[in-house]
Amino acid sequence: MEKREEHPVAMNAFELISMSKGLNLGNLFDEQAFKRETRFTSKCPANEIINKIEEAAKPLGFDVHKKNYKMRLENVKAGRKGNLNVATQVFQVAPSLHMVEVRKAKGDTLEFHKFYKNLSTCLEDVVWKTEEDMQQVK
Amino acid sequence: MVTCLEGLTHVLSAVASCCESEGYNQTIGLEDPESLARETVFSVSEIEALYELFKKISSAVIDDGLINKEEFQLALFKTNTKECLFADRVFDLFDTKQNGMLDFEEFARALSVFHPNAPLEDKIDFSFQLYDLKQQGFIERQEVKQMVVATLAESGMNLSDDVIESVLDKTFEEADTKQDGKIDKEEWRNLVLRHPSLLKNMTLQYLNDITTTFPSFVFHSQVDDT
Repeated sequence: MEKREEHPVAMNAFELISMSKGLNLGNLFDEQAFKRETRFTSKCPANEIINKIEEAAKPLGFDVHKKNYKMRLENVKAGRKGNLNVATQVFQVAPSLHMVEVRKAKGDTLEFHKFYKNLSTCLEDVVWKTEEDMQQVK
Repeated sequence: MVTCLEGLTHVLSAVASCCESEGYNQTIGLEDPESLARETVFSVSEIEALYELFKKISSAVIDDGLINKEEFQLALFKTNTKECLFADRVFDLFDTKQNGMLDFEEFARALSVFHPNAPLEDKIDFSFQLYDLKQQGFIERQEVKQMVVATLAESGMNLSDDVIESVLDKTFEEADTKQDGKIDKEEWRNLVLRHPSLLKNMTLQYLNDITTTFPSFVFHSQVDDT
């Protein structure tokens, strides 16, 4: 049985602010394909989020390493640029709202995109808002 | 007396040449990639590739070799109707000549700060100025609240005022070591050194690949093949 911290790391106001689209100049470069990280929000409890990600990643061929509310997902098979390595972390924005960051740690970015697409299909009932939702122009 | 006058003429001519080359004339076109490369983190090839990006952005609405606020918003949000607190702040910081337009020099110099190889100090500086909305030399709690509310509104996340206040409480508890209700430069530096992820958006990995993203610069390049 793993000992786990009670709560995920509380999100610092500046952490939240730095996610604003207006402060992410990567958008000037246009290419969606280059993005190496993404995030989604969830209203589920942090433990549930971690478990659901693990459940989704394993059948996709990924080894899962967990530590508190951070996870490392490693593709057992090597891809175009080595084994795809994905890091995720759950942050607490408010007691009932969490932000999950999913970031490519190693490997091919396009493979990361494919993996994330598969992962999000499996996580449909966990995800509240995707990054696309979050950046929709009103 | 003579040396004093000499000194004065020297200063005056320096000021005059400075005004001529920098402050008062917008540089249209890529006049001197080498000098820009010397003054930024970019190589000459990267400056040339960056210029291709600049041309693309600056010709979107008015083809005048300058990026206006509308073109900047268009490039960032793919729409020019979106009002954004942060984009305004970024534009303002890029616009060192403060004339409402970005020429290539301002564009390149500002983006240089976002290069992975740019000095950390520059990133700390830029981000501090970014968040110092009223430009008072410190970041007030009210300003942070304004930015948090703006960010949440963007993403359609509605949080109660209580929750927002508690996020601010936690942030200031950690950041405001002098406990005066504001975050000064030193406190900001200490905060980001403890939490490097806060400067995440101050580095654009794309800038490493820019010569592959905009290879057409090769045809206009002034760099020797040797």
